[in-house]
Amino acid sequence: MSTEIIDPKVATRRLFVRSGLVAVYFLLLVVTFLLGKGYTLLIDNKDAADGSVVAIDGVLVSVDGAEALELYSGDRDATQLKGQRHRVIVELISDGKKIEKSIHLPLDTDMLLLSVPKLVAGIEPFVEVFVLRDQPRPAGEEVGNTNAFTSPDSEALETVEPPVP
Amino acid sequence: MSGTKSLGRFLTEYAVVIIFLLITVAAIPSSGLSIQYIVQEMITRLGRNTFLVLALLLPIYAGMGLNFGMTLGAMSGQIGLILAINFNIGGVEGLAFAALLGTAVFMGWICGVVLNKAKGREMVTGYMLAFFINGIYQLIVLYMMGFVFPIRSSAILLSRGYGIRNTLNLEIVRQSLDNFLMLRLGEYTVPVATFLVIAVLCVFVVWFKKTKLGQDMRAVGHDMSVADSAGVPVDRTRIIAIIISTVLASYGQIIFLQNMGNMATYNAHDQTSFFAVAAILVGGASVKKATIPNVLIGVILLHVLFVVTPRAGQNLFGSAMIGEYFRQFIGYGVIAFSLVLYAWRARKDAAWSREGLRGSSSGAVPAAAAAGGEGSAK
Amino acid sequence: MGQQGPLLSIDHISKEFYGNVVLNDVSFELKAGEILGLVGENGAGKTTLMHILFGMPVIADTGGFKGRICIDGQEVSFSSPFDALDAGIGMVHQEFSLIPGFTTTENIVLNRESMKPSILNDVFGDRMSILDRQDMKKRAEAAIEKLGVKLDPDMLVSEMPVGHKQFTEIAREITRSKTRILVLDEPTAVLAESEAEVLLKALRKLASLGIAIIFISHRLHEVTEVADRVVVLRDGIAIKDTPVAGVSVRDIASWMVGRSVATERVSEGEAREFGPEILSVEHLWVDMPGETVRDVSFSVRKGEILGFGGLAGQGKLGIPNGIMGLFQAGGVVRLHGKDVPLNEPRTALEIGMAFVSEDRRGVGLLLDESLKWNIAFTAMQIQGKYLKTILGGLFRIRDEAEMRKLTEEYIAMLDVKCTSPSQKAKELSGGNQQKICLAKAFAVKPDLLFVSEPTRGIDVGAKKLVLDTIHRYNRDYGTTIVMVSSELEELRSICDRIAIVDEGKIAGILPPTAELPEFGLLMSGLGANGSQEDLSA
Repeated sequence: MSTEIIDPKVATRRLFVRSGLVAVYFLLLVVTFLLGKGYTLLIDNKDAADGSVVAIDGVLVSVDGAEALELYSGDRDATQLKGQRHRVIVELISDGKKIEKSIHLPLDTDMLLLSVPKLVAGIEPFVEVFVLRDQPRPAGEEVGNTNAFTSPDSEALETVEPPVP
Repeated sequence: MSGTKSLGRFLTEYAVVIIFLLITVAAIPSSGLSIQYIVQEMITRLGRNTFLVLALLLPIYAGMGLNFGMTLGAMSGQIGLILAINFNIGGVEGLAFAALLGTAVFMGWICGVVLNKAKGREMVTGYMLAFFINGIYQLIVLYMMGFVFPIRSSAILLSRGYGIRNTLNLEIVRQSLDNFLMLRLGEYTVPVATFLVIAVLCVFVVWFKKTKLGQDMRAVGHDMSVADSAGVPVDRTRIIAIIISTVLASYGQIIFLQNMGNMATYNAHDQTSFFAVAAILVGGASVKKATIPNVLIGVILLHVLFVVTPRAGQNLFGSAMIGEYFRQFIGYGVIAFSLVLYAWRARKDAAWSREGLRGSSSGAVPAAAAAGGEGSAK
Repeated sequence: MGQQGPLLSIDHISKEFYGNVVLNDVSFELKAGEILGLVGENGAGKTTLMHILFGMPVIADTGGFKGRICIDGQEVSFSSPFDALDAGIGMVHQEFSLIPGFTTTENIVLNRESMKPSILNDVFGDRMSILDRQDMKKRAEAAIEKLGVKLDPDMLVSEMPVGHKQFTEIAREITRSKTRILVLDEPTAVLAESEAEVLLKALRKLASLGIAIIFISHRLHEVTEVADRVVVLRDGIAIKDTPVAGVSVRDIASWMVGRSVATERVSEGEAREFGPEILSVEHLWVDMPGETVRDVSFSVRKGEILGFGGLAGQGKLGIPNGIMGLFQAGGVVRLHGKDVPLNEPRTALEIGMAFVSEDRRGVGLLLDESLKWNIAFTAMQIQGKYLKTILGGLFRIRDEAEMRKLTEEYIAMLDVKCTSPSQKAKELSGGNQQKICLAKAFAVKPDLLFVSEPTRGIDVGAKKLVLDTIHRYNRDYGTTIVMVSSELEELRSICDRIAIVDEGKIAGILPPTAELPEFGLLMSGLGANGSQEDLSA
């Protein structure tokens, strides 16, 4: 007999709890999306193409308090980031001057380029979307997916896997 | 019941476990692997597989046998991961995102409805349903993603512009749960967060059995018609059991894949149910009865064998492939053997329980009248 | 108590299934605290009446019923058994509806468990509540107390003696606070004598608490012992509704079996000579679900027709099935003085026994095959008849011409209505199918033929033809026949002796000319003593 007679008070409370949970569910979805969103941030210390800034000889760049990257003139390095908001600290090796900036990354892209010289010179925007021209693809990963149905099983992959660190 | 009979019962009850233990103990020395290596492997594999195997418990309580339909959950988990990779959501958040997408609820509902139409033949139906849904999964992932459903990351698409690649690199979520709280214990590393998740699920299962719904599930599992005549909504209860199992399987698959670090898009789910079922059976469970210890023992025993056999094969026969072969052979063998053993035992039990009502051929039949009529009592 | 109006009244109820009248204008009343004994043979309409009372869907599906059911003077109409439960009618089934893996307590409060809400109730509903096992146990103990019996609330049902299962089931019905009417369908059928007594005592206790009880039983002495009033159903008519005081078991038995139609004995007055003993059975048990044979001994002499009668589920069907090896059996069976190995159907056929099964469509016939195949099949398989050898004995093939001849012979002999020997068996009517089954057994030319429920499911005219066929075959060929049937009249019309099976044992063997009440008494679990000497007649 699944016909439960529920007291209207309980019914309203349940309605609230349930709709609250639905809201929490969507909130969680958004939160995980925003917090987990991954970026590759290229940190670039080169002359600008338009000649507006020139590379700085020797800077230490630290993002979110991580170990600083050492960049000399013409260097480019990359760091993996999660989430939209980050703090960048640039320290000039020559005089020890520290510049701290907060950056907010857009959602619609995965790879950005931060130009250290622009950041130091205070030119906005110092973070730009970086577009790869032709994405190189690993060989042997091509459309030949007729064997998608017969390729080796997951357990076989497991044996190839090196022992877990 | 006499001593020999109860010993016989014990042996049939744990035949699979005992046989497995013997094979494993025999295979360890010939593999030449150190105990430390095996223990570390076990810690890793417990974290990787236990959740998936635990997903099998509820349908067994509900009398639906081994849920081969859990493959549907695995596929849902993979779809979640594909989308997480697509949006480039990494780390634990990526895993949570994949888990929250919850296509598994819908998949579980489909599976539950279908299995309700095939009462008494749930296992083979689930197995076949998994093949059918696999076709739909391939249609969606191989043709519709990037074509009907927009995919923003061209890195995961085949170069023709639609369809997901054969192998998906899960680098951004790789072992993020395992590493979330990694504990070093002497020479071993223990993925504490993963074990915590598994522990929470165990607590949930224990708690769930104490709820009204859990009790209804047990009732339905023992005797559907009695439960129905007592007013338990049988079909609904069975669907809920399968939905929960499917959702758990999708989480299990996510945990499994984050540990592996990459995903064979079109094959990763193929043998999910197969190895989970083999594990729970090796642990001493049957089609009708399974416990959390069965799961843990089963995962350990099966995987020790999996770790050891390729090396033992290499050392004994000069080929690691022989170990690969044994894996398949043993996996299917265990399932077939357990099912046969179960059917045999069920018949034997029925015969034992009816023994009391037979008149002895010596003439006097006092016991028969006293214990009488159990045959019609079923 | 209950001196006011009747609690339940059954008012002019009639019911027919596809033109077949099962209940005809049945009326009776039940007061609070009264125990009503409801008796009748199989097929008298007891089950149908209870189905109507419980609003079983099968009744509505087959066109509903005529008449009214009133509770407290209010007409009620139930569309499902749950409505009946809500109205306060509890049912204790003949087959236990208990869950074997659950304890007494869990079964008693099944789906009415005591619960404590958990935090997840607001999310997923009341089913997420935690069971309150202490309170459940308390309620179960209260119900057991009310029954006045001893039951362990924590014992698993699967480990209980049968009697305790019955009590558990009754306890479950009375824990429903609303239950005012309790229906017990053959509650003592599976109980030992002592257990049955405890049960009857418990029923009286319940009645004294004001619960009205309908007690259905074939054990008439129990009815006279416990009931206040007895209603006898025969062929769908309530032929007797009387207080039990002053009524004897014998009276009830004769009301129950008495037929309005006179028995037409086929071979009245004929002197019968039998040969030596052909079959002897000692301490046979058969593990046939629902028809368990416990301990049966009898012997049959050559040329005789021995009948087995009794109520359904008492084990009469198990006897031929066990001897023919179709179900697990034990004991000693000798044919012509030689031991018959049990549990080997092929051997049983090979040594000259044949069996016309009650399961005509399942075991008896190859429905999709032609008549000639059906008739020749057993003879071909077992005795190698109707086969010819070719290539010097290398292969054996079917002799179609011989088979056709044989089939035509039997079609003519048994007057089978069919288009040709090649017609498919499933296209024939029930009566003609039965004749084919008989022909199939005759074709083996058995020394001993078992015929089980030969007239089940066929119409009246065909019944007579089938019985005549069996009778004639016995007279013409001297074949010994053991016939099992639920219809006493049928047995009385052609058998030389009739054994009544009750609770897996032979309650007694009577000549066909014996008085009807004698049979009734044997079926009612009485008269088992004193008939022992008849066994080897």
